[in-house]
Amino acid sequence: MVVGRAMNRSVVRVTDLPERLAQGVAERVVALVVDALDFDALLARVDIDALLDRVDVAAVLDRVDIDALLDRIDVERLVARIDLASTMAGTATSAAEETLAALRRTTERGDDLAARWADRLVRRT
Amino acid sequence: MSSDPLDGNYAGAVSRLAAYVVDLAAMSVLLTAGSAVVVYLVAVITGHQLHLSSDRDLAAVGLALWWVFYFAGSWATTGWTPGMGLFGVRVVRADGTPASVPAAVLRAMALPLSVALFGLGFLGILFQAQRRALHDLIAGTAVIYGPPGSNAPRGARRRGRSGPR
Repeated sequence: MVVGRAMNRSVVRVTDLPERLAQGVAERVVALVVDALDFDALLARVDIDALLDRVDVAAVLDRVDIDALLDRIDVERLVARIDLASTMAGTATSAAEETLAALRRTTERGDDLAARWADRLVRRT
Repeated sequence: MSSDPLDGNYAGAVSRLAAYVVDLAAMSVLLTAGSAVVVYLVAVITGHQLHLSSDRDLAAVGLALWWVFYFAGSWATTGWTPGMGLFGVRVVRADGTPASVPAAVLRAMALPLSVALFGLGFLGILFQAQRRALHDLIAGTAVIYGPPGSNAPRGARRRGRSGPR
C-alpha cells in the first residue's frame, strides 16, 4: 500500500512538467493569434443588420423570467438614488418659467398691436 | 437717433392693463382678508363690533390707505407690484432711475385721477411718445419693460423697431 502511494506521487511529478509546458505553449499561441487579429477589419465585415434579423427578440424575452428579475431589484435603493424632489421641483420651475415667458411675449405682442392701432388712428408712422 | 436712454423700452397698454387687473384682484383679496382679521381683532380686544359695510367713511379711509400702501410700497421698494412683476414691467423715474418714495406715493394718489377722468388719463399710454399716463406725468415716472429685481432696463430690447413710441 505504501509502495502504491509512492508510485502515484512519482507519476504525478512526471506528468506535471509536460502539462505545464503544453499550457505555456497554448497560452503563447493564443496570445500570438489575438495580436495578429485586426478586430476593426473583422467587425467591418460583420453585417449587423443581418445579425439582428436573425435574433428572435420575442423568443429571447420569453426566456427572461421578468418576475425573478424584478425580485432581484432593490426598488427602495433605486428610488433612494433618484433625487425625486429636486427633479420634480426643477421640472415645475422650468415649466413655470416657460409659461411666464410665453405670457409676457403675448402681452408684448398685444402692446405692439395696440400701439400700431393708435398710430394708425392719429396717422403717425 | 434718440437721446432718450429708455427709448424703445416703454411698456405698452396691454401689459400695463393686464398687470393692473391682476393687482386689483390681489389687492381686493388681501383687503378682504385683512379687513376680516382687523374686525376680528377689534372685536376680541375691545369688544366693539366693527361694521365696515355700513361705516362707509371708515371703509373708504381703509381702502385709500391700503391702496397707497400696496402700490406706493411696491413701487418704492422693488419698482413693481405683484401684477407688474408677473408681466415683466416696472415703474421708474422718467430718467430711468428707481422711483423714490415721494414719487411712488404721488403716483399711487394720482392713479385714481386717471380713472376718474373716464379713463382719459390712460390715453397717454397709447398716444404719448414715452407711453406715460396722466399719473406718470404728475409723478415724473414711466413704466418700462424689465425683469423685476434688476435696476437696469431690459436694454433697449425693442429699440430700433418701427412703430409709435
